[in-house]
Amino acid sequence: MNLLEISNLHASIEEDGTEILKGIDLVIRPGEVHALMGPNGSGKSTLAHVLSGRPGYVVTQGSATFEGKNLLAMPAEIRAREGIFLAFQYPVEIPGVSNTYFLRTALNTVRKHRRQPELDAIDFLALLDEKAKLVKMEEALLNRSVNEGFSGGEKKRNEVLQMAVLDPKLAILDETDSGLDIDALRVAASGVNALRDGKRGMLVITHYQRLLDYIVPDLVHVLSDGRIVKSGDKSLAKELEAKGYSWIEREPAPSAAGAASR
Amino acid sequence: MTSAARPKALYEGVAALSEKAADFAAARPAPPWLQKLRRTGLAAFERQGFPSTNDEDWRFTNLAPLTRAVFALPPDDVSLAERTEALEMEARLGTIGFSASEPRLAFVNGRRLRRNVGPLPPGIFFEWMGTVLRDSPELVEKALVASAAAEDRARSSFAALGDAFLDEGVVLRVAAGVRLEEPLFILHVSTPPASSEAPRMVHTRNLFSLAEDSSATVIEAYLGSSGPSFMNARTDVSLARSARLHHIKLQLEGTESFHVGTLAVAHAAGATSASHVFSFGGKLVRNEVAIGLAGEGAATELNGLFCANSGQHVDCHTLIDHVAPRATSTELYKGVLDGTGRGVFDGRIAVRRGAVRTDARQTNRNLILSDNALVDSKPQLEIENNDVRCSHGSTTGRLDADAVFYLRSRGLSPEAARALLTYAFGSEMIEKLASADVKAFLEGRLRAWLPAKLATPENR
Repeated sequence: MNLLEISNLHASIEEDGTEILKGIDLVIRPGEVHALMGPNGSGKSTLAHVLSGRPGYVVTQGSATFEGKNLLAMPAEIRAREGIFLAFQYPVEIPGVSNTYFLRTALNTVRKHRRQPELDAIDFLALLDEKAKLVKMEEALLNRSVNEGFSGGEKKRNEVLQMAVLDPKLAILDETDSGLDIDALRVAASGVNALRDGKRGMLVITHYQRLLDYIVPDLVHVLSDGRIVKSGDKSLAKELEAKGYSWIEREPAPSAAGAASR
Repeated sequence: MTSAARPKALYEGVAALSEKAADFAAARPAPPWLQKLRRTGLAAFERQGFPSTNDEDWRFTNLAPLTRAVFALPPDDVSLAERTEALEMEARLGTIGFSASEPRLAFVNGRRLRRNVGPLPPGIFFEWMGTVLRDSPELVEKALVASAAAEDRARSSFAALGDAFLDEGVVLRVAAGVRLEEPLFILHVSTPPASSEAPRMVHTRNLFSLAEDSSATVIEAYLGSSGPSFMNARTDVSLARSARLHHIKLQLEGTESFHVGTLAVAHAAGATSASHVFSFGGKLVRNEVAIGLAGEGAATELNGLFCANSGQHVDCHTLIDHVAPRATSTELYKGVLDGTGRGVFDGRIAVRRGAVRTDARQTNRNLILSDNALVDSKPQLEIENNDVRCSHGSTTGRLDADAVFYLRSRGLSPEAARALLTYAFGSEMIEKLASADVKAFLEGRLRAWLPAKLATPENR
């Protein structure tokens, strides 16, 4: 069964009705890593938000299913429990909530949903210790408040750590590379790569090809003005790097729904 | 007649109270100075009445429900039922209940419940006020008379009323150089009267005096059941040169209770105080803290957390009076309001002409959890000289929607996300405490207060 199946998805900003996604078609099978590239404002982050159930968007047309279930009918927390994980572009600081407590609460909520036994403090700390090594997360950060006072790199590593602990079926990484220097990028990417296990699907959203040197995708899609205008293998990313996005933006959209001839 | 249409005071209930105070005084023999103190207090109360909302200090707190209620002094002797219920309630305090080993004086409806004070270190005097008034009144005469004559008394009907009923409470004296590590505990338990009796009122007075270079920690806890009650409590503290006081107030009375409590601290040079107020609501609660920084280089830190749910009103009123040079004050009060709960923060910092090099920082942050909850925040800074560093700020808002979504995106239900964020907001104030037992108790109390169940954070 396909992990994620999106067809003709249209979505607008709730507040002013501006349409951002104008007919997205995308299929992710278990184990596949897809990269979604595109210029600023093309709708990359909006797609991530809509898939994760963030309030503020309205789906006006189309569908999205996760393991055959209607994803769009699920509240955000159910999507998370079913196995969708969004690594935020801008992780939120939560003063007063320790990283460890937060992660354990989240994991046990997810495990309960999956009918797995909850982990007690000792078992959880053992698991956390193992996963923290994966992303080279210092113990001090685990005991601090969630993301509070973290550097950009620490915040992104914390996202990958959460992903490792929650063990999702589909991970959506929203510009995980933004704001990272090359060392921080390598650490985050190696954490992500360690989670590629042939079953987990990934949607890696990025503006730059750079990240894809470290997380090598099976497929690359280019988003422009709310539609996927080109798909290909990893060489497409290289081509974009060389030619820039303007080359793509001039291509006519292939999908019938949006094929307004120029 | 504008003045008649907008009375500054409420006189309803005053006559009934003053009759009770007169009976009370007549039934208790006392040295002449104490008789006079009670008489003077009663006269001041009769003259002033209760402050109305036209009094700037009471603008957001309407005392009419208190003035209309009828309260009686409990009989002199504690009944078996009262004692049993009070001890059961104390036991439910968990880590700060019976098992706690610190010296404790406990009251039920203002009368003595139990004394658990082992051998105290030399230089510590921790005693019932009633015993001191009977056996050695000279120890407290000067301080009580001075307190009654202090400047703020003109404004405080409740202090005057407390004088009229002055009889019981706690006296603490710490000798020069003595530093007491373990906290001293003062517990007040209110139990409901038998159905045939009027609700009870308690007027209690504590007097602390810390000599030069001494230090102590005092916890005052006010516990109550669900019935109506009226607690009028005042604690006067005098800190000599370089003395240090930690004061923790836990207001844990029931949903029908009235509570007016004042902590007044006078600082000599170099003296420091820290006050922590935790107030979990009641029908009408007023927590006052009045800090006098008349000694050079004195310092105070005021922290407060107040929570109010439907039908509850919690008013926190603080005054920091910078009189002497180079004194510092930092203040952080947080309010959490849910349902139709109402909260008030009124914090005044006065910096006098001579108080050069003052450093004063005040912050009030309030969290509103429902459409019908309300908080009035009134920070006030009055500065009479230029050589100061002062700041104040007040914010009131709802839970951060981005944070709620972040937690939901990790699987938490909206209710669990909101509870966790609310807990985090309030627990910052608990984290400031030193005592693990008090922290554990308050963490449980805050979790219990939250609108949704929150998992026990055993590994926080």
